[in-house]
Amino acid sequence: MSKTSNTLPNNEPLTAPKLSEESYQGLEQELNELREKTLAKVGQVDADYIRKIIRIERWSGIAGRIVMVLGFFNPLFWIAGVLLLALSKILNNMEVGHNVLHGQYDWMNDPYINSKKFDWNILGDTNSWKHYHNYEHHTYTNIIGKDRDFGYGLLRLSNDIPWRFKNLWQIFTYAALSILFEIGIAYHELAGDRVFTKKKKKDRKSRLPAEQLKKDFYSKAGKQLFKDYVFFPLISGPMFIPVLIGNFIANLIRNVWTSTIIFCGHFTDDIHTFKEEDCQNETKGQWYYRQMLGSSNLEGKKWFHIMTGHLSCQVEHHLFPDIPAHRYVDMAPEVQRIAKKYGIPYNTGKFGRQYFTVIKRILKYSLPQKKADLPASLSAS
Amino acid sequence: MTKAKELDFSKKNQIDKKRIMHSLNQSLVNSESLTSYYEPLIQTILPKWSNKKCRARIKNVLRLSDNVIQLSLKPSRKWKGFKAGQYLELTVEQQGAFVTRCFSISSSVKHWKKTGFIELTIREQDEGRVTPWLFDHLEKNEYVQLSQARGEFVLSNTTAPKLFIAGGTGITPIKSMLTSLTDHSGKMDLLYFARDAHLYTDELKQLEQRKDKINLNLHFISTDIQGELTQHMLASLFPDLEQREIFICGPGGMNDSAIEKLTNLNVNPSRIFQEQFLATPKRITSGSAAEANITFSKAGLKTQSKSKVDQTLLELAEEQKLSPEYGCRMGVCHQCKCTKTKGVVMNTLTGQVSDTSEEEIQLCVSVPLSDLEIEL
Repeated sequence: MSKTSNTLPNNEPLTAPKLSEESYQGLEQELNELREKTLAKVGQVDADYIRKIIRIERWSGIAGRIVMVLGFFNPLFWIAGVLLLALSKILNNMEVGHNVLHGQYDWMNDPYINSKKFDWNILGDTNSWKHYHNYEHHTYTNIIGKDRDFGYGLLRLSNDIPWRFKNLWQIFTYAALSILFEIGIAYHELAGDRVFTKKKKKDRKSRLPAEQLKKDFYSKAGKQLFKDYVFFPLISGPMFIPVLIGNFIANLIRNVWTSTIIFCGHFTDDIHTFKEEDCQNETKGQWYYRQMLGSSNLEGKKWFHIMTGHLSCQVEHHLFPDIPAHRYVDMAPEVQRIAKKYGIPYNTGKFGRQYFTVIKRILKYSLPQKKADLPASLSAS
Repeated sequence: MTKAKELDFSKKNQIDKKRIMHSLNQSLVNSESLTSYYEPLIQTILPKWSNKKCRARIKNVLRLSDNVIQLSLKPSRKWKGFKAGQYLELTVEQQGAFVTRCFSISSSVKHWKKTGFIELTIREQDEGRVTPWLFDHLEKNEYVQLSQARGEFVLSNTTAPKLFIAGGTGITPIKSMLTSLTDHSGKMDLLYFARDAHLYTDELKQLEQRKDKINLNLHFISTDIQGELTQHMLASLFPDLEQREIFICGPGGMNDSAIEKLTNLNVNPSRIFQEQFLATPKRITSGSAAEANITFSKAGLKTQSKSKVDQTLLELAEEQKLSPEYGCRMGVCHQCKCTKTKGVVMNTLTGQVSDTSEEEIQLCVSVPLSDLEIEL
C-alpha cells in the first residue's frame, strides 16, 4: 500500500488485503491477552485519576464563570474566564464525558460516574449519542453505508461514496460543521432517522419513536441553551452581554477543538474503508483488524493526550473502547509491535501533519474522481 | 375547595416544584442535584463524602477471634440512628470500586445516643470478596460509607416472654436488642449456638447478672459437642413456648430448621420473627448455569435457564418477549447494561464472576450462576 496517496493509482478506495485465517486468530489472541493484562491492572489508580480530572473540569468551570464576570473590572479577566470555561467544556466532552459514557469507569460502582447516570455538558442528548456512537460507530466502524460517522451524511470522504453536487463546497460545510459541532452531534441520530423530513429510510430501525426523539432533542438542547445564554448572563447583571458572548465563544472553542481531534481519528490519509458484505459474520480477529485499519493516532505530550480525551490513541480506543482511556498510551507500544508482526499498517503522526491530510482529503473528494478500468484481481477486496 | 381537593392540589404543587428543580439542576450542572455535582469537590475536603450515603469514621478495629472482627464507627450527623435489631449497608472502596455489604448493628441504642458510636460485628466469609479484604484493610481514622439503618427485625413492645435463638454471628442484632432494653420487659431466654467460640460471652453474662434490669437466662450451646437445635431441646427447655415471642437470627439453614421445629411444636407463626444472615444465593457450580431462577422485576416475569444450554441473559429476556436495549451483542458497546439486584453472573467475555450485591451488568455477555433478579 502506498503511503503518500490514499487511494490506489486508479482512484479505487484503499481496501484492506485479507490476512490468513491463522493471522486473524493470532491477532485476536494477542490483543485479547493485552486487554486482559491491562484490565487486571485497572483499580484504585484509575478511580483516583478520573476523579482528579472531574475535579479539574468542575473547578475550571466554576472558576471560569466567576472570573468572566470579573471582566467588569478588567477585560483580561473576561478572556481568562472564557478560556477556563472552554477548558472545562473540553475536559467534560473528551476525557470525562466520552470515556465515562463508553462504560470505561462503570466497574467503580460510583453512583454518578457511570455510563447510565452521566449527562454531558453539550447540546446533544446523552442516550442518543451512546446509541449511535457506542453501538453503531464502534460496531460498524468505517463500513460505508453503515458507519454514519464517516462523513456525517454531509461530507464525501472516500471514493466509495458517490459524488454529489453539494460536495463541491464541502470544505465550507466542514467549517460550519466544525463551528457548530455540538449541534451536529445532537442532530446526528435524528438526521439518520429522517425525523424532520418526510421520506423515511426503509431499512432503518429507530431506537425510539420519532416523537420521543424530538422531545429528547429539544429538551436537552433547551436546557443547554438556557444555561449558557439565559441563566448565567442574567445573573451577571451588567455583564449580561459579555457573559453571553463569552459562553458562546467557550462553546465555539470546544466545538472546533473536538471536531478537529475527532476528524483526525478517521479521516487522515491511508484510512481504509470497508464494504458491508465483506464484514458479515466477522470474527473478533477480523473485527480487531478492521478497527486498526480504520483509525489513526496523534502524537503528543501528556497534556495533549488528556485534552483529546485520549482520542489521540484512536487505534487503541477502537480496539479497547471500554478500557480507561488514559491507559491507551501505555498499551500503544504493544499494539504497534503486534501490528508490525502481522504486517498491519499503524497510522500515526504529528498533529499538524495528520490534520493537514484531513483537510486534503476533504478537498480531494469535493471533486469527482474518474474511475479507470480495473484489472479483475483488484476489484474484489 | 374541599379538603381532598386542597390536598391533591398541594401534592401536585410539590411534584411540580420537584420537577422544576430537577430540570433546573439538569440544565445548570447536568446532574440530578447540585450536591451530586459537587460530590467530587467535597470529597477533597471530606474523604468518602457521598450525596446519598452517610460517612462514618473508623474508631477502632478489634479482632474478637480468628475470623470475627468488631468495627467501631462514628457515623456523621446525617445518620439518623437506629432501632435495636436493625442493620445497615456498609460501603467501602476496594481497589477503586465501591462494594456494599449488610451488617447488623451489634451495639445498643443507648451507647449510640451517649457516645455517637456504633459497632458492627463482622465474620470473615471464606472466599468472600469483601469481608477478607475488610479484615486486612480497615484502619483507624479512615472513612467508610453507611446507609441509614433499616430492617424490621426489631423488638416488640410487649411484656410477653421472649425466646432469642442465635447462631454464630447471628448474635449481633440480638445483642443489640438485649443491651438496648430500657425496662424490665418480661422473661427472656437466649439460646445461642456456635461452632467455635461464642461471642460476647462476658458482656452477656454481665447482663444476665443484672436481675434488677432484666430477666434473662443464657444458654450457650456448642454445636460441635452438643449438636444443633432439636425439637426436644425447645420443648424441654421452654415449656411455655406457645406463649413466647421468638426472635431467630442465624445462617439461612438454621433459621429454616428452627422455624420448622417451632411450628411442629404449635407455635403460632405470627409470633416468630427472623433475620436471615448471609442470604447469598445458592451458587450453581455445574459447568453451565443449570436451572437458575431469573426474575425480571420491572416486567414481573420469571423464567428459568435451561441446564444444557448456555444462554445469555439477553437471549433469556428476549425469549420472554421482553425487548431490552442492545447494541453490538458482543460485550463492547455497553448498551445492554442493566441492574442486577440479586444473584451472581459470569461475564463470558472476561470470565469474571460478578459480585453478589447490586451491580450493573452487560446482558449480552452475562450468564446466570445462581438465582437472579434483574431490573428489567
